[in-house]
Amino acid sequence: MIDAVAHSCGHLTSLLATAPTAMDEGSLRVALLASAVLFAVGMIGFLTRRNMILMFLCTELMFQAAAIAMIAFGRMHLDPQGQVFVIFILTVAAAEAALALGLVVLLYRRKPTLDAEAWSELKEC
Amino acid sequence: MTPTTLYLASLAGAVGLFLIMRPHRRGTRLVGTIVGAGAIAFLMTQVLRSLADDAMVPVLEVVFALGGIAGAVRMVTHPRPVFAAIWFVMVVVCSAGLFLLMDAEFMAFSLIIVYAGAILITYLFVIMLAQEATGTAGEALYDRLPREPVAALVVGFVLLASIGDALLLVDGGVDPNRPEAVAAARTDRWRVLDGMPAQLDRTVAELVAADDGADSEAPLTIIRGDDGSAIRFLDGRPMVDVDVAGERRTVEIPESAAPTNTQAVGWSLVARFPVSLEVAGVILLMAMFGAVVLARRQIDLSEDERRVAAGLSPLLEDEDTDFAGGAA
Repeated sequence: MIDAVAHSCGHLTSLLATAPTAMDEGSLRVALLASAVLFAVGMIGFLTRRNMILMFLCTELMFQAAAIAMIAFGRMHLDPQGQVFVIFILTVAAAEAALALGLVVLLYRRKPTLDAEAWSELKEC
Repeated sequence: MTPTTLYLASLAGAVGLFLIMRPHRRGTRLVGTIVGAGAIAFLMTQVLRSLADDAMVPVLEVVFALGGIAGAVRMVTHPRPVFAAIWFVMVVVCSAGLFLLMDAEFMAFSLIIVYAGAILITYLFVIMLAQEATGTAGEALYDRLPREPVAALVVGFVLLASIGDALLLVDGGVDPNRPEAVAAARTDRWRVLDGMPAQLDRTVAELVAADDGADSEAPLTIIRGDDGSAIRFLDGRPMVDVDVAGERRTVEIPESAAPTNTQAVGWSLVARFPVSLEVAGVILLMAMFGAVVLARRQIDLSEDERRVAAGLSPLLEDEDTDFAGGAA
């Protein structure tokens, strides 16, 4: 246990200037499991929350999960493309946050509630 | 790990989340927390047990993963939006820790700066703006009652079971032991240094100066090969041919001069995805326009004001008389 922590910490301090090595199988599995769980929880949150702002926050959670999976697979293939893709995810998340929050403010001005059910007539069924 | 254990753990997680999510009494929520935490802990131990015996247990990874999952669950179930946003900060910090452990330090810090620093603050602003206007202190009813929790949990945990199936079970899961990828990455990494001539010049000058002692004023030129690359490999070690005052020398580049993670990401971004970079800029610009257009306040003009705005003279001299006001 102590050995394992020391191993991880040593890995953290020697991040710079080491030759690329193959990834620990354990850390890959743990990261992928975390990403799968975060994505599922984010989707459940999107479906169950009624607050419009929190629904968008749950989409950000799903973006996080996708980013973790990207980084993990990029690390596994030792290719910076995974990290580059995360930059684009961040870009889209920032754009989405700006637009979504603008929309929420606009809707909030029409009906003074954040409940998404207030706009359920938009689905027309 | 067998598929059955994965499905059972997903089911237990769904039940636990259901008990946390409903506006139950405190005791029921506690039971839900225990069941959910047990399900996650069981999944984690199953994942770790499927490793080889001599494999190192990734303790810090497990800590960050569990912290992120706990923060996510609390964010999804918390009845107060501000607290949900703050719990999301915990998810961001934990995933930044995971990034750091996976040699992605640039992305880890930019994640904290962009997400926790910028996006989350925007969310908090809007949440507080909306809450202050309603004047309801604390929890609104629509924040406490989940919508269709059973259906959502079924969908979510079927998704989790199938993703887990694909990632962790099929053919024994994903195997990161790829010697050919490691070998390719070791040489590919030096291509980044090759693409940055100024830094390569500086590195080689320092190496030559260290070899010669103090008199490093001799002009040196790096000799490039036919394909324009300066670095060639001798037994896998990076070598550079350099012309020092007419004398040809070969310098071995040490490991410490390797490009850092930030340089590798930047190189990949600029050299391999230049169009995507431009498109990302356009997306941000369009989002800015869109936000401005959406947030602009609609101004109701009366008929006369519209005439004035169009450059005509107003019809009414006396502003107090209002025959048929446009804004009425």
